[in-house]
Amino acid sequence: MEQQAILAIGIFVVIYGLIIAEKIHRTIVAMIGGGLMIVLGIVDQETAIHHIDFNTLGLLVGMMIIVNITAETGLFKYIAVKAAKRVKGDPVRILIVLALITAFGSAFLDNVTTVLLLVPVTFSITRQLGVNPIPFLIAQILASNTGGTATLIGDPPNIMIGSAVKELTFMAFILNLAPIAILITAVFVPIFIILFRKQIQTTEERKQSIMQMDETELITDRKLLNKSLFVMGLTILGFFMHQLLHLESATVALAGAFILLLLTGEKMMEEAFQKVEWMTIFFFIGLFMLVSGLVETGVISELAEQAIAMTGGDLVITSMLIMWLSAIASAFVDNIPFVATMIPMIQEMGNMGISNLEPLWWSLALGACLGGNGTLIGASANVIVAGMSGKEGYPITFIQFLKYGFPLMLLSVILASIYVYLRYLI
Amino acid sequence: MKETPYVNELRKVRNFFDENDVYTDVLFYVYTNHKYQVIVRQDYYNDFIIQLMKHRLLKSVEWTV
Repeated sequence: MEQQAILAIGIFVVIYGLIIAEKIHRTIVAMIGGGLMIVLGIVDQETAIHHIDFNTLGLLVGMMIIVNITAETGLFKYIAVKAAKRVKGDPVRILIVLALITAFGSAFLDNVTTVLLLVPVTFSITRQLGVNPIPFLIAQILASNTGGTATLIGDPPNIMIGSAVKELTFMAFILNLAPIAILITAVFVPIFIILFRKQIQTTEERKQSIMQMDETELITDRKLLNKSLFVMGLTILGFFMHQLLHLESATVALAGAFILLLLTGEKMMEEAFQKVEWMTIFFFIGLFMLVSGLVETGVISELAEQAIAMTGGDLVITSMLIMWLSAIASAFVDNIPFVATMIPMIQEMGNMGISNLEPLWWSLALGACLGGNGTLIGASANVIVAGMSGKEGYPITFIQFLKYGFPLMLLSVILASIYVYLRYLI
Repeated sequence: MKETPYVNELRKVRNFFDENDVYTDVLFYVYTNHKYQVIVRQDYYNDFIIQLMKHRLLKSVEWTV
């Protein structure tokens, strides 16, 4: 192996270790790693920039702007309270509807954004019901990672896969991943009821207090709400039609964001841009540059070659290996760097003779997204909810989450494996 | 709380606590006819009263102990 390749592997392993250790912020570590690939001459700046997937970045920024502006209107609180009233203030049914709202929201918004919007209103409702919020939060975490699996824009691994593989359109993601995401959510619902119903009992009086709430008061700006809903609808329609319109998903999201800014006026612009998670954006940039070093020095093709040799190029074995490896890895480490590494590897497998890559892409998406449910550190949404809950005096421990998350993650990956096998491999 | 100026001021108080970093400090529940129920966490009593005072929503404050 070339000296440059060994150096690239060394940098990658050290940076990956530092990301897992979480002693230094992952964005700083990834950017330093990406920078080292250029400074040490493994790739030149032009090549590194060429590897940055601007479609992923544009899609994330566009959606962050749209969601942050919409959140200002109180829409998500309104939906949660309205739903709680529809199920007559019953805690078990509220837990289920909030989990379903989270799953649906996560399919069309970023998982972290969805839980950030729904956790505050969950605290509010559970306080009024006089019940422990932790079962609600655990159900929302699990639903968020499952719902995010359903669409191209639902979870970062899907955004990255959709950007890298042009044939996998928004509709293709929905047609292939939404059925299994819906099935897994449907399986989770009765399990949530069995697991949590005894922990969340309340009185008739408290249920009535939920029923008497006036959710319309939660909408803070009706004009802004109308504009946001119009643009959000237009953007989602744009995603459905992006292949017909010959537009990339980032173009659709950014167009939606700037149309909304045009309608809301300049006063919203500064705030909307401030709320974009620039640290996440730069984390992606660092990772793309980091992986560019492995791609350009031939490390990825070497890995792909060895993977094919190991599986004998058998599509079933390769597919299952990718799904389970992605799930187990994603349960313990950040799935974004893992997927960033796996994408060029699967592309390389295509160059080496595996003609039908589709099951491999769906296996990667399902494994990486569903694996996030395995542990409390498996996905950003888990960490964010646990942090919020702990700060409010309801700590969710690693073991407490593991008890629910890991078996349900295994169950979901088993269901996903059966789905992929039956649909694509026989 | 039916008079509009008071309702608007109370909305500002609600927004203040809704937008800060603590989610369970002061919880507002709005019922029909602008009837409000507010649940205040003990360690946020002072902050809540200061906000009510700032928005001129208090007639008097009296600590019993």
